[in-house]
Amino acid sequence: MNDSLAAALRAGLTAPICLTWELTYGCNLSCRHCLSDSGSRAPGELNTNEALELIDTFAEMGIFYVNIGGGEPMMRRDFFSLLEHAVSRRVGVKFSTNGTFLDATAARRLAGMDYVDVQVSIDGPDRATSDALRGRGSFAKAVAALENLATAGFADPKISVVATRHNVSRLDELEEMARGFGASLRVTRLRPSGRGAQSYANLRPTPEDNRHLFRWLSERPHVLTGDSFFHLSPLGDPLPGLNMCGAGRVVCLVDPVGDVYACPFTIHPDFKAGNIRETGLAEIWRSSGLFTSLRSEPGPTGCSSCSAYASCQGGCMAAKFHTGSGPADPDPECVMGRAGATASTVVSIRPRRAAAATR
Amino acid sequence: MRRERLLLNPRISLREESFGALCYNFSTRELFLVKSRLVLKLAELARCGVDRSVAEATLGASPEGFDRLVEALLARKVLLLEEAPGGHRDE
Repeated sequence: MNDSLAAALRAGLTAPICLTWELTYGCNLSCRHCLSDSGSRAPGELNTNEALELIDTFAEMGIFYVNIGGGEPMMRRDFFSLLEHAVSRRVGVKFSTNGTFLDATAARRLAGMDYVDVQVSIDGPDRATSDALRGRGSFAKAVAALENLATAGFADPKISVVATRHNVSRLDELEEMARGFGASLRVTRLRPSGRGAQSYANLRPTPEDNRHLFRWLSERPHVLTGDSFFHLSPLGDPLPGLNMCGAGRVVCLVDPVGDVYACPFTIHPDFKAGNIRETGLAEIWRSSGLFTSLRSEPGPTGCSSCSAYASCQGGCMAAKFHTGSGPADPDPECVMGRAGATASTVVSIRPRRAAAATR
Repeated sequence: MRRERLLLNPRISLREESFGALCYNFSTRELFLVKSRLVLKLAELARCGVDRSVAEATLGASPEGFDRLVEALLARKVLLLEEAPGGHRDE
């Protein structure tokens, strides 16, 4: 990416490239690393009409697609109505699911829809490894969902894996597994957010894991990463992607009650830009004080004197925030070994409570 | 004489940005940037199909710049090429 383009992206776009919409915090699972601490539905979730209107807003803003997550989005009874409305407005949908509710009927319905992509979450190539994180029986349900998608002829679903110290050495097996289902593999970073705050110390990849992960991904540009690993860029040539923190610049998040946050991994009052029930999403995106400040050039940072700063840009804002570091501090997984000086004990952020407290 | 018709790929969405346009291909699910301020005007002209020479004249761009832009958009499948009815192509 050249300098002028990077500057344009840093200054913010007319609308997000990638908007994450947490449709519900209701979830039938209780994954140890869930970044949104999902379980029960939040009081005051957007109702169907509000959700449909929000999709209209996405279309009017020129948002090409949204990443729908949760929680388990398929738990909402209006899930398919919302999908169909998005498709009718030419807003693409990529949604993440644990697969529990993706039966043969749902798979056939999805296979018949345009502009829809499905990511099934699995965190290991076998039941023991994946269930240890995601709960007993979850692996079998996810596999059944992938089988249903394959049988229905759904093209190129994704298997979405959160990289932990328990699966980084088994990425070959996960890739093979994806191939077997006609799926692509997607690997993303573990963030110490939500329940991930409590499990981060035990699950985070070791420095050697990160080096292996980066080499592995570098050799496989077809493996999707959601631009998760730019903090590892000093280890070699950058992976495909924008390779910068996009919070408030190219990404944002809308939560189940309509609160808008700078990124999917900082669901916390400090990073709340507004609520769509009070201010329209377009207005929040254009002129919230938080987003405006995130788009301004950063001042001198503790990292800026580092020779690797141009590669990693100081790393992930959310990972720093949730480990008690400031925005100018190194990423807690800084590959230059600078993180130890600033990272403190992991703090616990509970997004649903934080959201409720602000309402 | 070359007569080619440019057609906007119906699977492509574009939106204006300060650097030009952001494009999304719904078939390949690929998102990419086009650094040209002419791209949206060209896309609008090509929405229902436009003769390449007509588009060039309408946009008023330099021939080299126009060709470069069109070739880039054809390569990314933002534009599709078809022979104009009754026309022919020099090989």
